[in-house]
Amino acid sequence: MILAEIKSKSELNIINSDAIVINIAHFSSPSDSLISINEAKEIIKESTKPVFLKLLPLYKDEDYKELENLFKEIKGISGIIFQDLGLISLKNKNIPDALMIYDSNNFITSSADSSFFKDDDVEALTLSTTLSLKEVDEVLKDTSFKYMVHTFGYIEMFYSYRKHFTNYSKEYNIINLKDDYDVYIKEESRDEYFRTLENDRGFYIFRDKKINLYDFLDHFKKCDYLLLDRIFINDEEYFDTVNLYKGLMERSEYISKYKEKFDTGFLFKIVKKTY
Amino acid sequence: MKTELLMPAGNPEKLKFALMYGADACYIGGKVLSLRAQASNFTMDDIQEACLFAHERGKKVYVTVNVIPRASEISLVKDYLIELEKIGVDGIIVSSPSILKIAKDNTNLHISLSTQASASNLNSVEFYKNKGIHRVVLSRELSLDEIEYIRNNTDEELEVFIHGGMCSAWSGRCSLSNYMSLRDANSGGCAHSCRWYYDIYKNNEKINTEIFKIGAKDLCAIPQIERLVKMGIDSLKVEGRMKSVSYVSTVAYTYRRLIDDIYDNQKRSDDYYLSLLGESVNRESSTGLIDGINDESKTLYSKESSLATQGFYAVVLDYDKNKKEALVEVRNYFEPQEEVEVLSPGEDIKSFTIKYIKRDGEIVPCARHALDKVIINSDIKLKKYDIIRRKAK
Repeated sequence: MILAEIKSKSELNIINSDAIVINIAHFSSPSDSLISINEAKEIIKESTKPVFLKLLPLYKDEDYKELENLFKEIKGISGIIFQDLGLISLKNKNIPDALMIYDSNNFITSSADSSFFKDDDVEALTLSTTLSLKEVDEVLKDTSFKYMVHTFGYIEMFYSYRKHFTNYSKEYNIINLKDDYDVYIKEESRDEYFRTLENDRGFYIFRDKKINLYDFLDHFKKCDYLLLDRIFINDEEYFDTVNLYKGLMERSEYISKYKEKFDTGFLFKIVKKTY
Repeated sequence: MKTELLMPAGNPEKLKFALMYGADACYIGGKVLSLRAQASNFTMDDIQEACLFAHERGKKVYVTVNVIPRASEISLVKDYLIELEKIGVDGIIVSSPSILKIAKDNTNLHISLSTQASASNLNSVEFYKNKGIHRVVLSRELSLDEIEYIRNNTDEELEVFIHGGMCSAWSGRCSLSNYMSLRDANSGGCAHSCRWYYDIYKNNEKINTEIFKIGAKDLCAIPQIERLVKMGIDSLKVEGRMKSVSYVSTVAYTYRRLIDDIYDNQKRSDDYYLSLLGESVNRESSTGLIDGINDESKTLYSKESSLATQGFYAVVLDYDKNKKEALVEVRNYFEPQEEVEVLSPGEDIKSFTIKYIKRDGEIVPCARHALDKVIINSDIKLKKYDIIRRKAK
């Protein structure tokens, strides 16, 4: 199932994914496709496809009252893509039929992880974004659990509670870059420009290149959910990418239009352990 | 139950010092499946010996098994955990879902959920409790009020970090090191990329004049300990398996005294306990996020200020009360005629002047070589494990 994010109800009829992913302002992060609760309710009501809500922050107790109210508002949602394991009980209490897809960015690294979740009403686990192709194959080869994988987009590689842009602006009395979606940071000795975002939920650093694992879909055929991340991607490219994954656009046409070599993330990188 | 003081130990010597100086328990890493891979860590024989040393003194040893293992490593886990249980460790510290499950299914070990899992609210603590996890090490992003709310609403054992280095990210939610250095942060290879220097770009132009930094100052929660103890936190944890014997001893000594003073209703000013820490605080520190303030005072903006702990002169091995001389093992250069301090487990800090240093029976002008054994005078009765250090100014 191809999961794609939408920015508004008006995109319901033009996006060709199998399922819709929405991000709700104040609760979802990081995202540049935020919608209101009311619009989310309309999307849930009108969509003919499953609708998933992305809730990737780690929350504190003060957030839980608001989250409970949110869950009551969005009854009918098909599922929630989440990281905070406390949300499972909140979901069970308020929207028991919603499917829960756990996405911790890099905690799911072996098929043995699924045994921990098997009694938890978790629909699927999201593969770590730091796995090599060989490791992906190992996880998926003998599992009966469902998995999701990020196959496209800018992958988050740092998530902090600290307000680093706000703090920096106060320390040096300069302009605050909070909520600015067009900021990059560069480590002094490297030629890589990392997209960076601070919002009310925290501070995020993303990889410099967007991944596109399209050429390796054979390896992910046992994944039930392929998620196409939208943050920082322009609308036309995003819709084309959805069409590429749905077989509605030729790979050659896509390549010639975007003139990009697909970045494969960690699929072919060898990451060292030190023990 | 009295709140536990849990200290790090990167090798068997540090473990002994941490326990002698007041830790109720130490956490250590084995040779596999443990973060802080560059700490020297413990062989199975070392772990067994550590447990014996601790248990003889009524203290505990927890073993960190806190990596996020890849599929190829899973086969190591079960036998390793069973072996740890067999040799008598008091518990393990885990973050990976797979290791948690293997531990529950195959051992009766006490399991602490590592802060790497970033449990940041009551619901997530209860989630792990319902999984049979015995203790949750809370996320380091929580304030005292938030910790107290959780404490008041669960009977799960809770552990809180109080001192030492901090991740800038939510723990475990950082792959900067993987991406920039090809070193897996969640398998013990963190390159501390959050402490590197960055520039900021917008519209293809560099817009910063000052270096952009995101590293966190070290945590020092002395002002918060009393409330943590009184709210009933089960364990207070110090970070630093890579740190020195001097650091481990001094920090254990300080927090032992503080916790005991709180229980005895004799707590002194925070400045007193900060002064006990002395030179062991070798990087800029703050009260972290535990004071509920998430601002610029918590970020390490200055140039990295890691000070050498050259004030740690020697460790006492033996004392001859008739000659009033101590056999000491040298750790850093020192000379006679200097007034020094003695840090001794459970005792007030004392001072005396070194009048002479003897090596192989001969008076020498200085103690120069680390790990040399020399004799110094001391009218103060010294004990094994006492630390001789530069007098605080």
